Amino acid sequence: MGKKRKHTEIIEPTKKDDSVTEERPKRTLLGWKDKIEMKETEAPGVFRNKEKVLVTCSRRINFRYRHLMLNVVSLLPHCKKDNKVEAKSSKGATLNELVELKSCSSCLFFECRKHKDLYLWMAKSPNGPSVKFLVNAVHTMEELKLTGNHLKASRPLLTFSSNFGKDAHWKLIKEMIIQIFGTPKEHRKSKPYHDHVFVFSIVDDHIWFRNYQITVPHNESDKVARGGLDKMTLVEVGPRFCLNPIKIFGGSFGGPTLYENPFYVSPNQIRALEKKNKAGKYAKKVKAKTRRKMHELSNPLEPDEFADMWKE
Amino acid sequence: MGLAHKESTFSDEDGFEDEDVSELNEEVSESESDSEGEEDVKLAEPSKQAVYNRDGLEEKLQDISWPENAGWIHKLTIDIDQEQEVDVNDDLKREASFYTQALEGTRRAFEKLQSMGLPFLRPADYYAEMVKSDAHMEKVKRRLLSEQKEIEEAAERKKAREAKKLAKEIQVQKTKERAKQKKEEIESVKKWRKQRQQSGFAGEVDKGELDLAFEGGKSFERSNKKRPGVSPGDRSGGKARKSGGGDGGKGKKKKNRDFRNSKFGFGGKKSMKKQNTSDTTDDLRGFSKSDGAGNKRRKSSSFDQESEEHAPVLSINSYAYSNKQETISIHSFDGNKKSMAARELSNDLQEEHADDQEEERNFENSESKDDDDELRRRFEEFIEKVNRGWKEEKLRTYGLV
Repeated sequence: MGKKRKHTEIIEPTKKDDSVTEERPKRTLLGWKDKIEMKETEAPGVFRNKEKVLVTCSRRINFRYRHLMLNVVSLLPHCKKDNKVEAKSSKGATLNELVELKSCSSCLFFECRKHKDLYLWMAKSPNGPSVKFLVNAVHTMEELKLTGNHLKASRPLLTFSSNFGKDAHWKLIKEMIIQIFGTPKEHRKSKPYHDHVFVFSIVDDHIWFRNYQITVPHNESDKVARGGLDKMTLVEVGPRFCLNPIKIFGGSFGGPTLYENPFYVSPNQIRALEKKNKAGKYAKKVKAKTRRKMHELSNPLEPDEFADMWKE
Repeated sequence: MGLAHKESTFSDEDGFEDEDVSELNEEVSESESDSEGEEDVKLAEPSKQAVYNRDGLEEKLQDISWPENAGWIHKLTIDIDQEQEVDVNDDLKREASFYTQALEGTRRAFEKLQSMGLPFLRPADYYAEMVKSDAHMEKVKRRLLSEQKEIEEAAERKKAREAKKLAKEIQVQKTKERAKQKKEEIESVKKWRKQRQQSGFAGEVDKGELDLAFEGGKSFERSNKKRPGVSPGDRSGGKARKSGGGDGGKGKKKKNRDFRNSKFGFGGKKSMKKQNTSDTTDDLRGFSKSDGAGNKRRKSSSFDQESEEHAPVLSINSYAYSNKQETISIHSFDGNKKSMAARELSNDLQEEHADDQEEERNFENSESKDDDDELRRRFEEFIEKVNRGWKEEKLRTYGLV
């Protein structure tokens, strides 16, 4: 532990200095001189990605969602897993603290509510934006239908559908995804080969995630065999999930709202409405009954002249 | 913003999850509940209060984005055009679009990497930790194998079913063919016979016909299995009956054995032994003729006597009954009696001309007359009495009037 910290501490000052010299005009404008510390070490104009992601979840998380989180952990060699966090209103502050404590630059926080709804927070640490998603259609890697497999820490290829460039908030989300899900080059845990590919695709205003294993016939490690690209096949590894963006905040786990999904309806509301509909059914029945009764009372039947014809 | 396509993702996801075997019930129910509500709830119109701070977003993007000089090798990103809008609710199409996106992206990325001359493909002898454990992959393999097995089994079953069907058809065809062949043979034989007759081989006709009977008759001949006059349970095939009396010596012993075998059974089935057939029922050999005939005669004669005895009594009774009913009828009866007496007289007169038969009849009549005389007398007395009473009554009434 001690060693690691030393290492980071050693690197940070140089990075800080470099970045300060590089991007001064921008930051002076916004007044954030010393806060950006994660990104660049460009001493000789070379960019170095030192992204670190804290992955954690709220307490009382569903096992399925926990497995999803663990899958994500296994996919990101540059992440740090941490203990569960109590999901209360002050969680933002604690999370920020935690991220700083772990010297991470971004955070993935899986928040489970009511054992049913999973929210994913994607945050850039000290002052970057944060996005809150609702997660749907979760399939974990453990499912036997997903038959692929790949190296544990190989760097994934990231493919995006072109509609990420459609709007500002999509662009921002894309940038965040690139930084969080892309394994930094020359990360010490990473492996030098590429045998899986991530898919981020916007369909129906949701971001769909897929992970495929790549199988290509080849002999050498730096060349695909002739016609190999045509013979290339993909096998799905998992996990699968679908992200519905709810809000984008200016700060990490808080701050001004920059974007709000105009179509979003929370699952709570949906359930409530459904319940109401169900309740309404019974109420309607009762109402109809009373109405019928009232109608019968107000329009009594004429006494039938043949009623006691057969009684004698 | 993507206002163009209204979202109904929940329902789609619902279907998507339903197809998955390993889906948990809880999850399914949850997603179902989502989907049910979703169709009504999903906001068709974007809410007006929704915040959209474009400048802020862009600024943030500027803040966090990597510097321009960061090479592609750091990002490893590929943007792929979606050819057309994908229908979310169509699982297959959606997944296919994801797959093609991944495939296209990988191709392009590999080309780039190849051009850079960097190693990017895993050598065959590079072993390292994988995302999924070996145990898990074993499970996956097992499942795949079992699936394949199931499919194969299903195919086999289907094949067998079809083969069975085909065999049936072939069988039907065969029987048809056989029948046809048989018919043809018979026809040909008939034709041949006719030709022979026409050509007039008078001398050989008999011989030929004999042969034909032998040849053609064979197909019509009844099978040996069942012989006429033999009960289905008889194992000797009717031999037992024929060999009732035995010959002397060795043969006798053997025949005895045969008889016993036929009677008590030696092999073959036993159940049908006592069952009658039409032949056995018609066979009256077991009955002695004399006994039955004598009995019948005796019975019929006695019956005749009885009927003769009873008949007159019955007639008298009927008379009595009618007499009691009405006086008028009694009068008529009286008249009848007179006429009857007259007839008797005439009979007496005719006696001279009568045949033997008539005499017999008269004899019978006279016999019955002896019985009737007393009765008649009684009747007449009774009638007179009644008439008298009636007259008296009538007179009385007249007198009263």
